[in-house]
Amino acid sequence: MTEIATRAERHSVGAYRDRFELLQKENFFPAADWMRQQRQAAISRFVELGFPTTRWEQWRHTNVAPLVATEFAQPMESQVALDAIAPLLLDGHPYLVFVGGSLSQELSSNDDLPSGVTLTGLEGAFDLAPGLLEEHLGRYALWDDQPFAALNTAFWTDIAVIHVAPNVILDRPIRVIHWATADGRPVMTSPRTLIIAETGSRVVVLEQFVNLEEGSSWFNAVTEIVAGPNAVVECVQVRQGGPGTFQTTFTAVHQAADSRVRLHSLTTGGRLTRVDISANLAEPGAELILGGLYLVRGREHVDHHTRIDHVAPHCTSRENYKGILDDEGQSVFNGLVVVHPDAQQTDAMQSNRNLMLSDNALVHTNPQLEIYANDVRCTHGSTVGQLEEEALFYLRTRGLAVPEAQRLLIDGFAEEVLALVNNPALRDSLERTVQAWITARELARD
Amino acid sequence: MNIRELNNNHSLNQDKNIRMLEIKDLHVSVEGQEILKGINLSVGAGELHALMGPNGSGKSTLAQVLAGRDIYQVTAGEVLFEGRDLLALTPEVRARKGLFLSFQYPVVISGVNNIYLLQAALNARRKERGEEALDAVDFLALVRNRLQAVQMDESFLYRPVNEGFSGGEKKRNEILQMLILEPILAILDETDSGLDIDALKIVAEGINNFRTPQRSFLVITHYQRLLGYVEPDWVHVISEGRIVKTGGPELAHELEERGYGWLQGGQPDVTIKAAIGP
Ligand SMILES: Nc1ncnc2c1ncn2[C@@H]1O[C@H](COP(=O)(O)OP(=O)(O)OP(=O)(O)O)[C@@H](O)[C@H]1O
Ligand SMILES: [Mg+2]
Repeated sequence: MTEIATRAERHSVGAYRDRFELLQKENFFPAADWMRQQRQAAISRFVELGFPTTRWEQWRHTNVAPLVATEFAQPMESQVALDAIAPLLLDGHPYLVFVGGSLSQELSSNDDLPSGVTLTGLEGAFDLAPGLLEEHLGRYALWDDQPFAALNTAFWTDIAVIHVAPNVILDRPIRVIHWATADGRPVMTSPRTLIIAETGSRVVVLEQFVNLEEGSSWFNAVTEIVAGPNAVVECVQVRQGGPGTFQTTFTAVHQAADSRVRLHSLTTGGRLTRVDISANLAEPGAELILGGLYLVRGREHVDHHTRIDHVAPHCTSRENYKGILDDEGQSVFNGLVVVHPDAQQTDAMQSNRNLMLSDNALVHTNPQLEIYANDVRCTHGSTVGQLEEEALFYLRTRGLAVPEAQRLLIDGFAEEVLALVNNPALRDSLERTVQAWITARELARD
Repeated sequence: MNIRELNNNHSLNQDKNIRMLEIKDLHVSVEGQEILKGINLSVGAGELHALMGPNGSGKSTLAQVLAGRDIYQVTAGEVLFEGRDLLALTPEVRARKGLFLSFQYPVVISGVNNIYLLQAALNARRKERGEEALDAVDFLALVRNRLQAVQMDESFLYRPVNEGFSGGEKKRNEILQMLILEPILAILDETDSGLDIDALKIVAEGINNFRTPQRSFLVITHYQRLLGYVEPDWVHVISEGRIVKTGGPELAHELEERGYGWLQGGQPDVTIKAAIGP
């Protein structure tokens, strides 16, 4: 078994390498010198690492064999009707739409922005201050032990860039929509996003990964968020996909002094989802809030691996991830908080709670602390539980039918994480997504 | 004319055959252990019955069984609610038909706002009665009115159900739900326990103003104190899963003075005295 898997894996790794070399030779990729070097290094590293197996410590509970065994093609240029995207948009909010990893200017709306805010694909990004892109792109999402991030770094064809100049404030959420192409065969899309909030600026971003097709599709995404001194960034990542959707995403956060970042993750579908988050609290006074909600049913598998590095003193992190699992759904939560020797006065809290709606669902949860400083306040914990019989009974004695009572309790469980979302428009939109999931679940049970 | 006379006068006009609640030889077990060993109790429309008894005698078990808690097995007997088989109904249908249980230990529902539950509960009850759901304005007016009756701040509406409420606030919240849902049979399980004297008066007043010739109450309590404000028609004493004595309001006084021991043969009189408190 192992032998065959390994051979399939080697074959697959080789296929990606060959494709990369071919595309590189045809000058398919955007080519600044430094980008070229990055890509070359990344593909080499990917070939060295290969795909992760369950023998890797960080991949023990997530088997990517089905992903490795599928032949994913490079996305072709393809059309998506505006109608299909319209329901995702909030009125009056700027957005970029990427189809198959490339910006679709005609589907996007990024002209109504205050001065100091740039929202663009790669082409427009060269208009930014010289050297800005080179200074940031690929500097935070370190792929040395992350084969998927390395693969994205080798294969991305376009990027979403959000740049907010010093002291500029934009509270209307910016949307970045990554749309999978529908060309009838499995496709690997490599979305890439870079958010730079300069000193004292404020920005809200919603990143959405959507595959509404029945067929197989793979999002292999990397997002980098850089918060300058005193900057405020709120970013929500939503992953919705059908039973053929694979999602591997790596998000890196870099925080300067006194910056505040809220990063929320909502996953409501997909066959296999792996979310890696790595946050670096690099300077004193930075504050990070990580919120996560994963709603898992059918035979879906969702894995969150987060790592928060408290490098500087006087930083705060709050991590609250919650899972709701039905049917034969599986989830993995592995949260690591590392408090470095200089990070005195660290205040870190981490929690992972799971609600099981079925006896056949499976949860692996592993919150971890590594503390190398002595004057810190750190707590962590995790729970796995069911809907409380007593609470259900209480609601029924108030006249609520069982499905309604269940909905209220499921909703109530999710509420704590949704309440972490600061922006009201985003919170409403996430609440609707959660409601839709509960409704779909009820319908599936009838 | 006091309320009791008023009620009695009215009940003369009622159909004597249909009682609000009739419990006949009810036996209930949990985990193979029999807790209720043949309860008989009949509550007429407009009547207020007090149920007293030492800790562990089965008061809450009876209340929960009447509300439909399925962890208890009814092994024998029957219960009629307005002449119909109560035990055949689900908890939610019982509630919609007008049975209300104020919990001894109200349950915390995290993440669900009080007002949301009130609205869902009221709509379910109104639907059963063939009434339209109240619109937002009328609903809020009703809720504000009832909040005043129990002297609760409006901010409680926007807090998760019972989360972080003090003991007394939880009990008042139960009474608030009762006043909004307008049941025809209210079972109050130790709603007076843990209330200071001011809160007790508020709750008692809430109950008194709520009494009508059609509405019945089963009030479970350890304390004569409440019954000083809310006058019962009947007082029952339950011990070890059986009703061992029934009398008028004077029985509550007697229990307060003598405890339960004299009723169950040879047991010391400590339980009730300990329970009376300051
Ligand atoms: N779910 C249960 N599982 C096991 N035993 C139970 C359960 N519920 C009640 N009992 C037992 O049944 C008996 C009666 O309990 P119940 O709660 O009805 O008493 P009570 O009269 O309401 O007491 P109190 O005055 O303390 O509220 C007790 O011995 C109790 O331990
Ligand atoms: Mg009790």
